[in-house]
Amino acid sequence: MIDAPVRDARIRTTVACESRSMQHAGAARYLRAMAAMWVTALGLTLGLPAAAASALTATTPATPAQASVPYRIETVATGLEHPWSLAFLPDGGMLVTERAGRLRLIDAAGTLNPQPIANIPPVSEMSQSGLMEVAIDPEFASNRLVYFTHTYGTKQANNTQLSRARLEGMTLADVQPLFLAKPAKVGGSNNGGRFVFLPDNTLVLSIGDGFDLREQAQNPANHIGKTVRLNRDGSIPRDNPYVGRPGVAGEIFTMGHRNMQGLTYDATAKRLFANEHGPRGGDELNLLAAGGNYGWPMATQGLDYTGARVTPYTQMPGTQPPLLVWTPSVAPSGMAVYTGERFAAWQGDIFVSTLVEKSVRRVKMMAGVPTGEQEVLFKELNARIRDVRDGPDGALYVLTDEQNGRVLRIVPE
Amino acid sequence: MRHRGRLRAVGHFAAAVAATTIAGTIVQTQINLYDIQQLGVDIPAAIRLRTSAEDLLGFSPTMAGLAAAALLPALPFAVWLARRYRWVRGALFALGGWCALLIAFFIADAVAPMPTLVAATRTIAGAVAVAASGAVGGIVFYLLWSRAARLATHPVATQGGSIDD
Repeated sequence: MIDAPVRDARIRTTVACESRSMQHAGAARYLRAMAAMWVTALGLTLGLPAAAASALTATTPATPAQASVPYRIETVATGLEHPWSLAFLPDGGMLVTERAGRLRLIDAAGTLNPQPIANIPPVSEMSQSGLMEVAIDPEFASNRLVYFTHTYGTKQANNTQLSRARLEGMTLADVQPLFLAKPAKVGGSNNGGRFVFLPDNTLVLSIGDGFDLREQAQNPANHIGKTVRLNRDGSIPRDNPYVGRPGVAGEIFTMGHRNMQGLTYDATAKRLFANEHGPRGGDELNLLAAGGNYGWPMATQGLDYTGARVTPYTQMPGTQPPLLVWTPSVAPSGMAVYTGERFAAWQGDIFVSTLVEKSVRRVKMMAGVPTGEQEVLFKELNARIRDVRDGPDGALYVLTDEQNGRVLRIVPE
Repeated sequence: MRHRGRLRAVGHFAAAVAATTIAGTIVQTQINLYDIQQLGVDIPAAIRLRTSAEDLLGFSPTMAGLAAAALLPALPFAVWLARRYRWVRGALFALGGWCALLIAFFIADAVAPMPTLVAATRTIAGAVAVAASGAVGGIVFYLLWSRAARLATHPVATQGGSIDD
């Protein structure tokens, strides 16, 4: 048995030597090693789970085909800071939102007005949030009303707001908040923010799950992870599916969503479609039906970004399964049904813009139902695409999600 | 000898990271499953086991990265403290690992694009529970380190002894 005081003296000597070494040349080496370790850890944290996720999750083949129709891409406007949404005006012009909080006008000649439209309310811009969707009232020609979504609040307490104003030249007049999604969430992720008008004078608006509040997507008492259906003045339609039920938010149209950035109404098939960001994998195309529960987070084909299971289940009785699933994620953003004449082969098909895949997916439809065939378009742009629109001139329009974002028009070759 | 000592220290560190990773992964899975159960979803034992196993494959790289980054500064510091406060050395390693994981979660949330990187740590209770895996790693490191110190200082009478003897 060693004598304790002698052993302690050895330990103290060792510690003293280590300490001196740390204080001199070793300190820098130690700090470098620490930095390398953190970089490695970050790589492990953000990189390896992707491989694990791919290994764990069944992949839905996209069956991309060759470009079926020759097309040409024309640049309409550049210099837009992360454009988010596009609305066509009756005179041939366009309104474009920039996420930073500016509403821009492109005139019928295709010239971007250097000045933004005045009187957009202050928006809370951070990561994914800011000024998002814009659309004109179906009776815009007579009432000049413009609707838009933006993030209200602060980084610690924010959510999506729908507002309405009258467009008078380069100014918005009578700006009215119509709807505020509640409760407020923390951070700028998963805001939803897309809306679409329905033929019955209502509109449907998507609200994200706020990332950290995913279980609230199943709580009918609030707006998190839901679509809401509103009259154009923001009031609640009497025929909403949950109106009058105690403890339930009457605005709710559907529930169980994660983050929907694409909504489109197929007027021919009379169907409302939504796309939805999954976590890592499990991006979805859904057919929305009043009162439907779309399962998040009880059922998903995606994994959490860390590679963890969100839930053991990919489907759940009582919830609506997606029409399509994209795994690995394509990050679906905008969405449109093509109704024009110039691309006859595309009529009735759904176009989904994507951020991660940097493409537009053409989802071939037959009588309002996906046939299973998809086409990956516009990869040559090598740009995140935030929105895709069915233009009144028969062209397809896309917005690139860039600091120097562009409005592009796709026409037949 | 010095080379072997370093290798041994790396081995002890790797064991601590592995223990933290396994414990942290299992705890976070149970928290996530609890949250899903609160929505009225039934999770039988077989599904729970399968999900835990899947997370050990899918989530463990993330957890290992966080554990390594957290324990790398924490364990040497705990060694330094343990040599001064010998009567609480086991607790120092456990507490050090625990706090290190909590700090790692905090830093990861600050730099990651999403509000919370590890979903199970969205609440304080969840963060404290998952970070407790750092205490497991700290204790594993302490046991290996103290055994190695015992062997180095008392190579013959190693059975049943302690460096506090």
